[in-house]
Amino acid sequence: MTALLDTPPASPAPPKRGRALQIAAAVALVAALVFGVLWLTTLTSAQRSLAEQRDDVLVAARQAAISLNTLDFHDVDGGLDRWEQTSTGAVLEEFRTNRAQYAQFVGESKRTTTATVSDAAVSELNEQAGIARVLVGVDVQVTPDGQQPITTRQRLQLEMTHTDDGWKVSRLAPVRAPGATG
Amino acid sequence: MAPQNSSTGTPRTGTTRRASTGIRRPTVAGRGPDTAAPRVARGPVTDRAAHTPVPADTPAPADTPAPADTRDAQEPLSDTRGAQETPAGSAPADARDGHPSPAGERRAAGLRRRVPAPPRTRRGTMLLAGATVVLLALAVLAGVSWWTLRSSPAARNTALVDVAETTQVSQQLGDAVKTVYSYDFTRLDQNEAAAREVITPEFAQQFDQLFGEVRNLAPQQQAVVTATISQAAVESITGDRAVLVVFLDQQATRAAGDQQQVAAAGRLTVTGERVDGTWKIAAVQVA
Repeated sequence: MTALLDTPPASPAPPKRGRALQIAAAVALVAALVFGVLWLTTLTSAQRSLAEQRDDVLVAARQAAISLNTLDFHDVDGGLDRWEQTSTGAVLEEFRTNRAQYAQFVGESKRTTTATVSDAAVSELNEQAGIARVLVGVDVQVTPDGQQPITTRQRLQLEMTHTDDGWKVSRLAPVRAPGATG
Repeated sequence: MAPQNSSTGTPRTGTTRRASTGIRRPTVAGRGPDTAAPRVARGPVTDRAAHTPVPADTPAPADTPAPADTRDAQEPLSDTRGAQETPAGSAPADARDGHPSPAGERRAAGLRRRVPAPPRTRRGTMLLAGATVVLLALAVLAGVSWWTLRSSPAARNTALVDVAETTQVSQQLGDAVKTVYSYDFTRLDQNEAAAREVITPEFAQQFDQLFGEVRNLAPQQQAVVTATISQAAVESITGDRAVLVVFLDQQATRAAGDQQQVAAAGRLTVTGERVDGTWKIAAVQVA
């Protein structure tokens, strides 16, 4: 080390310092390789993809549960458009078929419904088939024009299907207690 | 390295000396000799070369494949680079000259291990330092990216990703919920004992309150309540904590009244904790 200390500052590479630099380079190379491999394997892992899908479908289902339980008689078309945007398959067909009926009903009853999600979780997820089932607790507030709102607490099971345009509702059913009306 | 080599590409005494040696050493990738390549191929420094009387003519480690290094060693006064290296390089070299045999051993060992020599030119040092900095930056970038991915909420939540664990959470917490929310007015002590087995101390206070009501009302109503899980889904599993969304049904038989069946549909968010390998209820939120 004395040789190192005696070295003038301008000297580029005394052997010991050069060797230290070499070791540092080797360590840096190994670290870069190790972390690079770790990063890539994590990035491309099936688990990560599944976790991401799970979270994606949950977000989509929560939003869908809100959209499908929200309808303002002032803006029936906008609300029904959102219904169609969040659904696919049989549900979407039903919405399209009965659209005029819904519009008429909501317009006549002059009701506004809004919804909030209390909690939700994915119960099943088939990544290959692109199908998931999600439980969603929804509080639906129905406000007839000029009256006090009534809140109903609903339990929904949504079947979500993966489409090119993200996860959409392909089946929608309330989870009722046996013998109860809902 | 090319410009330097061409600027100092004059014939030198060391060439013949090195040409006589039979030892060949591998060149190191990244130190690419262009114009200097033939010189390297002709033969790097040997022990004999290193032990020539000229003090500055001795590069410290013998296994020096870099062309610039060997050139510097042979041409100590050719430029400022050589002059700068002299103080540092000569000190150990002189010492070795005094004790040839250990130095020779060290060289032989270096040869066997094929360890590339440290850079001895400023340019070589700069290149190696630059490479080190770049590699370190890459390592840090990859490390941080990896850590961010790993520790993201999505990655730490193993619900559904770990199938066995998810099933276990669903079953054990589901059973615990059924136990806690079922009771028979004739067997309340047993019900309470069973329930205390499936909850953690965290939930004890809430449970005391819950079961206090049951103890007040159940005997009066002669109630027998059976809880069933209609649907349940694991929202998250993070280590030893888990959250289960439960759609709970309660069927009650009230013997005191006219034997009616009452079905209550409830929504619970149950937080579970793993205690000694078993999932127990740590908190219940009626959603």
